[in-house]
Amino acid sequence: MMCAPQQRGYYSSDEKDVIRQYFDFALLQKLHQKTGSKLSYFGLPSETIQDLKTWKPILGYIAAVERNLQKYKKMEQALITQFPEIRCTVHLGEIDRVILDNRGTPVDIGGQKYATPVSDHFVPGIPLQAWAFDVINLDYYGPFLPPEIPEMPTRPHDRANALRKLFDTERQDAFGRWVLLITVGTDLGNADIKLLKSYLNSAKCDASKETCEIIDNFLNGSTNRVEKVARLVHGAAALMIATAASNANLRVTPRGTVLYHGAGGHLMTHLAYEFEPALETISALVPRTLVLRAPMLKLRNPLAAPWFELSPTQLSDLNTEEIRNYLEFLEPDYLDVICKDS
Amino acid sequence: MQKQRNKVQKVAVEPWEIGAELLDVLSRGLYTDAKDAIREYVQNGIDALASTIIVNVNGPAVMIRDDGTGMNKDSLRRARRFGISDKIAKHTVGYRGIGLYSAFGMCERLVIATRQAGMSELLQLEFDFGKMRDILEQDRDSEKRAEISLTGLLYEYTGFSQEEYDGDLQDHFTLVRLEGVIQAYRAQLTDASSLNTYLLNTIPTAFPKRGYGEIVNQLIQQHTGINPVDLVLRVGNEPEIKIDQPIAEDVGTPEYHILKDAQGTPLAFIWYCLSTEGERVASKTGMDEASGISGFLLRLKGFTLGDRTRLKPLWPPTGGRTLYHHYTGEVHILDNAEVYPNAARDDLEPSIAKQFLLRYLEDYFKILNGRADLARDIVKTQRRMKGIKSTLDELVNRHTNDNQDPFELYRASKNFLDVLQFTERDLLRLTRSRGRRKAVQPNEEQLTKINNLKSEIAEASQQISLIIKNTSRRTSTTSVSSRAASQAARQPSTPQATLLSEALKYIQAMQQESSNTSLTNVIESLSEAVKLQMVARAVAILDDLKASGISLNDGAEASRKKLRMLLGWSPVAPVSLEQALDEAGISLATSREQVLIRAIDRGLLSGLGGRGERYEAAIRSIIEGIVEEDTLH
Repeated sequence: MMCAPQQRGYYSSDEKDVIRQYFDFALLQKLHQKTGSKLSYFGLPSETIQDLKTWKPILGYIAAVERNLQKYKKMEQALITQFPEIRCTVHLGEIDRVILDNRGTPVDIGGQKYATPVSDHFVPGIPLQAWAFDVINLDYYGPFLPPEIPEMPTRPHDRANALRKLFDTERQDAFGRWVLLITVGTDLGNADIKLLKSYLNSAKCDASKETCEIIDNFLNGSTNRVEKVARLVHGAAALMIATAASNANLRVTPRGTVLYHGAGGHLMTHLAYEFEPALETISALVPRTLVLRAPMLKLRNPLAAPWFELSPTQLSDLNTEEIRNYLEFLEPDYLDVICKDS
Repeated sequence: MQKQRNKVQKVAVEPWEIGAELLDVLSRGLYTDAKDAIREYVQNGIDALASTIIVNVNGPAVMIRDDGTGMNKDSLRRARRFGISDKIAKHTVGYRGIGLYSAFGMCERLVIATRQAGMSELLQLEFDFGKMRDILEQDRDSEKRAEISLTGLLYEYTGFSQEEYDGDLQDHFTLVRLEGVIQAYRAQLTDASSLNTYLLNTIPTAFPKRGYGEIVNQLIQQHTGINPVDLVLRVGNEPEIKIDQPIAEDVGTPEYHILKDAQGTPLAFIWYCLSTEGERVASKTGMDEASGISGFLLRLKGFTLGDRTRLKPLWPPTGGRTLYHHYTGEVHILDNAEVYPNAARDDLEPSIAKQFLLRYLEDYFKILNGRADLARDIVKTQRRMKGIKSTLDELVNRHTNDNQDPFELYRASKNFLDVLQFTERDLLRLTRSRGRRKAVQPNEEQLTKINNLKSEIAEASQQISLIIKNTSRRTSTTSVSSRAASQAARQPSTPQATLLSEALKYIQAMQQESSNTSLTNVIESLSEAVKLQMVARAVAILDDLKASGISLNDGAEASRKKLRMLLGWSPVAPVSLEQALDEAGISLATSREQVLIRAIDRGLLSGLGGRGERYEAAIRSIIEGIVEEDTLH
């Protein structure tokens, strides 16, 4: 039977540890085997850096983002003390703004403001002046589409723009496969649900009939509130990713969606996608307004991703060896086997 | 009246009596370059037995992280002391207790985070250097000085803290973080290349495991007990640099020497590699003398004192130049030498021990200089041998080719033999004393090279002697036909020798005929000339004999003339056209023909003024003409 991991920070839970250790780590190990080199990481590891501690053996470069100054300093110190062999940089600011601006907010270091660019980093084997991360971990924690709050620096359109820019830059600079991990809060309020519905509905006006059916399925698929919200989150994330990936001419392979209980019992959704440059050039030839219709397969894939609900009850029933065997031998569709198809 | 002597009283020194200006004066006075401060913190890591040290420069933040033993609360508390250290000078490099304050004038804040293995917390010590400087500057500018004490300043602007550590319980490290590095000092750290060179030349980093690196690492560890650290440099977004000691490619195997004093006490361990090219080590890399790889570094406890030019003045000059840069190596001062580094870490503190050490070193450098000189000569000889080998191959090829002109081949071979003899003589002189140069004690490698060269020369001499012997047979008066082979074997090997022998024979005959005792001395001198093949000497003897009134018989007179003519000729030129024809296998059928040929010969001799080369060319042309005519008919 699976044992709960020993070290857990404030943001972690038993389920999150399972996802981190057995699902994501397995996915990253596969990527590590494929690329043959250590992986470069960009994302939100949170101050406890649990993700990084788990994936440490296969990481070669870390670019972390943290919006809180105190946590930023703590993270910077933790990285250099606990990950001496890995080159790390920490950027202060909201993740979307950091992606869009290619740098964080300048930090006051002994009276001097300083910020280093994200893309202008060195990753072994990859040329300088590049944005070519192998693992992008967007652990948003909150809702996928941030609400419009005047004092908040991030807007919903920033997230979409940030994802688009992220995909564009990865498309330009990364030569091989890369993995995107997204974690979003799923126990949302009515305003958040409305925002998600609005986003999905707005996408229908530019989509094909078939795509519209899939979107409708996300919008009206369930009467259970929890499942309904989860479907909306899954649908919005998949749609946004599919659109951005399509624009960037990237081939998307969904690696599973997991619904789980995070810290404090909050319901969370964890999505994993693998990308590689698409060989077909159709999206490059077709005007952007038509992109949704043209690479239909690309769009359908993320939308139709399997999902898996991980609860404490199921957690106790899972057999570690069993999961490992599946992950080992049933790649690339290993998650399909242990996940319930939506 | 007896004077009452004043009694000297001891008065307690209060903390306020030691001013805070001391901190500013010492730290800013001693550390003018930000790189010096980095070195101090790296040095602390090495003293704490670190195996890996990371230097991370990121804008105004500089972090130095070592995986040494770390500090507990007590040792961190003691680390704040100024001018006091627990470190023992014999065992560690830093012992003055001021290194921690080396960044005093360079940054706004200094934070030291540390933990020992097994501790549950992370300890921190913070220094607000910026505030401290401000206070001191304000005080300097004020009308009335505030008498700021050192203890007061440190108490006010330093602070200890601790927090729970959420990493691995067994982690142990010390992290020194400089925050707000002042712009002027930042500029000294942002050039990764110069920082790399600086650290490379000051910190005892390991050699990479290639070339002589692995052997030198072992030698250093064995003789000094120093374990070099892995030093990693990360500057901004530039590629990470693993600071390895550079390896020269153009040097031989490493050697070492333990420098001892008159009593046999070891003072220093010296390792060195000598250039295999007989020139400055890594001369093609374009590095300057100080930062380059050639020359010697002076090290104490593994740390470098000064740069590679520091020991150059001790090296003896050779012909106005120095061979110092023909070596790459290091001088590690051992504990017995009882010398200490100065605070700037660019030399030793002045002392008698230092003078003795440098004197012994100077003496040993003389030996090394001799070897470098020898190595240069060996390289020159090796290069000469390359040319010799190719010439030998060419001569061997010509020798195997029957169409080759035997006269020319003989001459070329003879000249080549002279070259070989010169080379051999030079080689023998290499290790002997020359002028002011003392005899050199070659090392094993050099001895092997010299012996190899000797063998090569001996082999070449053997081959060329064989060629000369064979060629001289072809150029002798008799043809190389089988009929004359046995006769040729008995004859002297060269035409000169033949003529000389003939002359001697005729003079001996004259003595027998006339029983003239005065000829005895002549024969003796002539015999010596014949033995040494001294044509000019023989001609002089015969001329003197003739001038003394003794008439030479026909044979002797003919020999004298031939020898005289030979003097102006090429040593391989045939004695006459008649003989040359005979050698070419052209026989003269009638006496009329013989008369004709002799007349032509005389005409040639008078016409060409007895010059050998032209004469030789003329008769060769005649012989070729005859052969050609024969072929046509």
